[in-house]
Amino acid sequence: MSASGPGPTVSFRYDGAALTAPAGSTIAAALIGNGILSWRMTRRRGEPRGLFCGIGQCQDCLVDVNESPALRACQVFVRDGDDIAASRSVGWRDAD
Amino acid sequence: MRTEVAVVGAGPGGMSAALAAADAGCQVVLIDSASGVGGQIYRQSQRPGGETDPGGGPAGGGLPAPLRRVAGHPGITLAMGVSVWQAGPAGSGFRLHCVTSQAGGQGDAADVVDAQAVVVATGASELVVPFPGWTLPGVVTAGAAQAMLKAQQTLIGRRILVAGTGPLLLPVAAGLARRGARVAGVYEAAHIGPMLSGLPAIARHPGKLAEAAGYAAALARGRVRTRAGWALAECRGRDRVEEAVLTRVDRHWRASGPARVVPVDAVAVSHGFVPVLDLSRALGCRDEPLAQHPAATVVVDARQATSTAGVFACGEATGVGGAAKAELEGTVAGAAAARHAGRLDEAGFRARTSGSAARIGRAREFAALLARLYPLGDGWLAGLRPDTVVCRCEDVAWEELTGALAAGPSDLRSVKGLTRCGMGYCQGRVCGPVVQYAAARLTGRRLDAVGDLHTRHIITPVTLGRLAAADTGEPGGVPDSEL
Amino acid sequence: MTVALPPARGAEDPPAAAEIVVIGAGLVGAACAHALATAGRGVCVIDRAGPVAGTTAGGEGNILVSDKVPGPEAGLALRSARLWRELADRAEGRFEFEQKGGVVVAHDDEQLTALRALARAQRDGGVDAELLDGPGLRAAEPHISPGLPGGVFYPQDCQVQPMLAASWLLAEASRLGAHLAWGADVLAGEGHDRITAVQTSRGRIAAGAVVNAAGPWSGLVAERLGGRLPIRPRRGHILVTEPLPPLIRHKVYESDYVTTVMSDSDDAACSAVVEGTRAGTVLIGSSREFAGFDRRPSLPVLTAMAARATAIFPFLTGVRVLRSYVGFRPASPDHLPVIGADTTVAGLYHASGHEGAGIGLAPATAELVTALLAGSTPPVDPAPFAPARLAAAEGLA
Repeated sequence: MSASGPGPTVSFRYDGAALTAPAGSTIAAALIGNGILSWRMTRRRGEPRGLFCGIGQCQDCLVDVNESPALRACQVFVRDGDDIAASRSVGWRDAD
Repeated sequence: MRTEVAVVGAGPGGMSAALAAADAGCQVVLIDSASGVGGQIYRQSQRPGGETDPGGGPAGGGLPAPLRRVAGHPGITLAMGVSVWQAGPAGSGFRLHCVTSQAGGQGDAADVVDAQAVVVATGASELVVPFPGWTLPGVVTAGAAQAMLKAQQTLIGRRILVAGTGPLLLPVAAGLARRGARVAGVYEAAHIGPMLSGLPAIARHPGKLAEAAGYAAALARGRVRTRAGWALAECRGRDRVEEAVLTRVDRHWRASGPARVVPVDAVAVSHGFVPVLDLSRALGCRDEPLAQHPAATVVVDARQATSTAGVFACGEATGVGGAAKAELEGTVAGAAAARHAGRLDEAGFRARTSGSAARIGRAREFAALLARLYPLGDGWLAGLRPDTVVCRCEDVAWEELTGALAAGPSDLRSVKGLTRCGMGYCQGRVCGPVVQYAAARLTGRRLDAVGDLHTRHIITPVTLGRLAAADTGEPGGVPDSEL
Repeated sequence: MTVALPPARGAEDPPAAAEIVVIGAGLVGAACAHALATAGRGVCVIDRAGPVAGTTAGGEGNILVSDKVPGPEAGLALRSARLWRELADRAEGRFEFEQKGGVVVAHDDEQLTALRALARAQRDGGVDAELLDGPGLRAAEPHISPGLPGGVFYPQDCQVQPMLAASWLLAEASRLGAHLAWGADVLAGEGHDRITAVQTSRGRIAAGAVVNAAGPWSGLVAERLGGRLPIRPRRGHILVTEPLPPLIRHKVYESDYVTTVMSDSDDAACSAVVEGTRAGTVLIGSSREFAGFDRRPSLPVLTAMAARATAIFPFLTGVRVLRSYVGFRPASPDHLPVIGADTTVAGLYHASGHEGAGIGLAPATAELVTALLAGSTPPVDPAPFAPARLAAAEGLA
């Protein structure tokens, strides 16, 4: 669904899977471009969430990136080698 | 970092203010939490080589020429990817406590910006009232669909429904269609057709009418169904939205006809805008609640001065009215800030702002017109189910909110404490206006009598480490000469 | 989380007469209403706003015996903690009661010595206290700073969600026949030597007795009723973090907390208090200062609290704060609660001055108030809490 043409790409992992996205993509766009619409489970109901407001206000799109838990996917740019995981809506990423 | 004028928000209002102050000779720092200037309406592409897609901005593409000077102006320091988390008086001016916002801030943001004058240009956030299924993945705000398109050249889906109310629906739909999305329909809840004919005031803004007609024509050419007097009642799907349920509604948004079910894979919804007030309140600026809308606007005089000396406000913060109003007000606010900082005398101020008053008056008139064209109905309250989420962050259900409201005179602070509405990560940015509206309607009180959730003593989340290291000392005596 | 709330009775007009009027629908008022209604008394609870609109809403929900120096308040706290456990059993989880225990930490050997001496004295008074050395401290709290030499564990400390607890007590009181009237501000009292009625913004209520549980506003209420109660608001700040998994197991605080409570300084004094909640957020306190009713948090205070908290739990350095708020503790001149009959107006009773311990002490306060109103033998010695002792100290007896 990404409408941009060919250009430099970045490689990253989401939930163990190897994916790519155009350079300059936010994590939200990178995931949506790969057909992934949700990357967080709410704490109370365990329901899936992804993008909502798209401009960094609603904090629905939280995702874990490398060592950092609960970052806004619509604000953070994806970088080569990023290890991205679904957020459990807490500010803590357990070391596996 | 020490400066003369700090402008917070780099949309059309903030950019105009920064230019006006810098043109008057001030040192200006222009701050925005996004990765680049433009705000929402002039959002730039974030992809290298990605075209800045028009996507609906009235100028038809990119930054309007007058605003492009921001990038190279010697008097303006850009601080992009920076959020202000706390602000207050310091010495004879103000101190803004800053933190990198994660939006690709380069290097270390200054921890504090000390300024003699501040211009608040923080814009508005989108209002979305809840409905069953609104938390399904794939349901996003109209602003999100637009931001994804303009900044990331990414479509949120292949078959996208656009619904809600307000002047944003048409340009968003047109932008999506221009990019090759299948727009499954544009459904506007307001009975906009009959209203247009009944309002002679619209004739005073022929440019705006033509603009709207242009979008409608573009959609008609693409055979996109556009309807007025229809509301999005429900979204359904398992792990993502798969179909949207629409109903005819009366002027109060109450269902007045059978439902139509439309297969979709994404929905862009918007019910209007609410000015962002946390920074203005942190600086002690007075705001005034609106009578019919769960929102308030910063009170300013003819020079865009707020009730706090040295703080000025422009753009959506003083009333939702679009880019033209923001740019006009921003120019006055920037000049007034320069005057406050001692760079302009009264004659100089007048020279730079002559003619603005009348134009701002017309722009504000248009903003008031928009509010009347796109009122907020209350029929959606009847469409909520007991388990419909009303606070997205904390998964608070409608029946919990109504239960709390049944317990007594419901000021929002008590409701928040009992239900946890507004206590999550977004701190009430999404649910605050909704809870305020519901509280007022269900208890029969006025909108401005129940309080609101706009006050945030910590404006944006900040780590305890950063808080512990915050510089709360006196501002230094000698201004920094470095950037 | 099911919220047990009273039906919309609070919106109805207050009755023309009530056997006992309880002023204040915070936790102390709610507990008094509940205890009196359980004892078969006729009760009307009034509040100028609504349920839990005041100090209770800003409380952390602490039920502590650990922070009481040996003395009358410690005895009251022990009794109250027991009563809380009984209430929690009856409420079946409705207000998130948890006997999580408290851990007090010392920063250096000198503090540790003083803390241990205090713990021994507390034990003599019936408080369970377990001395912890460095390794013991880290076993109790794995994420605590490795530099702390030791502390004391108090297994009897508990936590509740205070708004839910007060709401449950009000709902139960209402079920037992108590009237609730919200939006009723106390304007004046009738009767000179004995109170006969309360005039409110929602009408007059003839009353046989009045219980003033208006928290930091109870001094103002007492004055309007013709009595006297020297209560001042003592402001505190709380920081609330983003939600976390349960990384902090107990309420953890610094050993200088007690001296901060007992100080009379007007300046802001900070002492770290850190605890997790069922909601996942970590609450960080504490600060004490006399700043009237100013609701705007002070950044220097928040900064000091953040520094002290991260010194105890270094992992908090990277954890984000989502919000901060202030609350006003009702403070009496000698830092002890004020429970008992007003010195000049018969029939007027005060239940206030708990200064940050109101939630923990509410049930025992209510029990004492109920006994005093019934003229029966009080379960604890009421003399240390009697308003008369303050009047004597002020030379007004």
